[in-house]
Amino acid sequence: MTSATDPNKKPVAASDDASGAGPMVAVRNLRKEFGSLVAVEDVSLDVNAGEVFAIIGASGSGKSTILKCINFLEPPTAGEIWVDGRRVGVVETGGRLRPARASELRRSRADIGMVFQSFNLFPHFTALQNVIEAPMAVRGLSRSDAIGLAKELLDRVGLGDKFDEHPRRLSGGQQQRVAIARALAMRPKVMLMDEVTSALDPELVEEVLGVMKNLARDGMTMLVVTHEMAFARDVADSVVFVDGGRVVEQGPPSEILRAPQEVRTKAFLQRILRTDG
Amino acid sequence: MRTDLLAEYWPTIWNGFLITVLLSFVVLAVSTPIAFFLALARQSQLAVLRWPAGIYVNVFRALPVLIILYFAFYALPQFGMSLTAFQAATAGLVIASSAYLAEDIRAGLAAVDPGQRHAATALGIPYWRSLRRIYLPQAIPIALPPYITRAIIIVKGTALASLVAVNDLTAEAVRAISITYRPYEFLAVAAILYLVINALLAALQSFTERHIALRYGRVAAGPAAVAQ
Repeated sequence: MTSATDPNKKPVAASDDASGAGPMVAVRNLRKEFGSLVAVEDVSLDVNAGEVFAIIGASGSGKSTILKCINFLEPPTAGEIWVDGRRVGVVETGGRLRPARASELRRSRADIGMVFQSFNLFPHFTALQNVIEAPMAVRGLSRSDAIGLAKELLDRVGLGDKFDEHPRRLSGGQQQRVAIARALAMRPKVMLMDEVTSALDPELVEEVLGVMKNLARDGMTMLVVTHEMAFARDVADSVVFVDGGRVVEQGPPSEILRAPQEVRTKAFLQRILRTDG
Repeated sequence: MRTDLLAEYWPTIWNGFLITVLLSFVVLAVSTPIAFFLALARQSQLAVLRWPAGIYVNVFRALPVLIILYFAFYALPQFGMSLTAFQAATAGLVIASSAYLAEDIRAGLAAVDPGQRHAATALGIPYWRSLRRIYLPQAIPIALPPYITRAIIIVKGTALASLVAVNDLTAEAVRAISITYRPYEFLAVAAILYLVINALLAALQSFTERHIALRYGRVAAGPAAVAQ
């Protein structure tokens, strides 16, 4: 069913949506330049279905750029992105590769949920309107179906009593939970979480992390750029440390966070643990 | 105050007033959509849209409107295009006004938090739908005050049409003065009538602002208002 977009040189075995035979997200030799600045260089990652994959690193290390390249919010300069066995941003027709058209890119993005540091809720919409907009516009859901779905999701993130509130009437933690519900309403195959607790007051961080833990437990594949080392340690299946746009070290959290091999990883963890107390 | 003279010339003054209203309305009605698409083109990722729009705006907002009007009225016939006075004035004013208005509209669109575009894009919402449902409702309240201010300037600018043989309010007032030698009366009347038009525009602005405030609440314009 995906033959048109599955060239033979595909690096992943996943041609089956549900089998989980290959990685849900595969990043191959990703490179991203902004003018003369190389933000990301030769990054390759495999994220399996149901896995929580934490990306850690100092600010400016390129970790957020990696996420934005996965859904082509920042088109990669070079490299390949695969989500569920399909190439993102590039389409093969008649044996030739060409850049995806806007409509093809939108279809790929619809399957990739993203949550931002600054929430980016639509301020003129209520919580419920924020969640129903994309399912109606992109998935073609009827208004009543979208509302049913949105209410269920807002309930799930603990906002069953805030359907009709505008974002400005919600706390940062509540806004971020609406943003998570908004992304989930597209029934994404993977969720990209870009420092989703960094803009929150400390006492609001836990309510958002709690929602993310529930998602992980329910089997959602997640790439999480985070400074929350406790979350990475307790929830992530894999941790990758990024520095200077490159992957320095990668492995299970027990190795990366407790017994890092690389000097740069050690230095980063010491710094962040000291400031986190 | 010679009210008898005012009464005598009132029909032509009123005619001029109607022409000024019509000219203002046509110029704004035609310029606004042109300016809107110019603003979008100026923001486009595509250089083939961005460049011509940028050149258009920067050329026509840099030229005196009167030069553009004279060009439309006197120079176009040299190229075999004969326009009536009203058409030439309309064309000239539209060309200049759309360049100005494009910048006001672009500023409104640019003031919308880029995070809104990131969110809409990441959700896969098509561009025109995002524009209609997400960007414009946030850009319009920001662009409205400068837009109305510009509209008022454009209404006043229609007085220039009197210099290319349009019988607008200014032209009729000047004509009455040149016959009667009573500048005070006719200038005062013309001024009052311009005030009436622009008072209506100002009223439209506050009405629209109230309507928007009721409909959307106070719309947060930037990330600072969102991230608390």
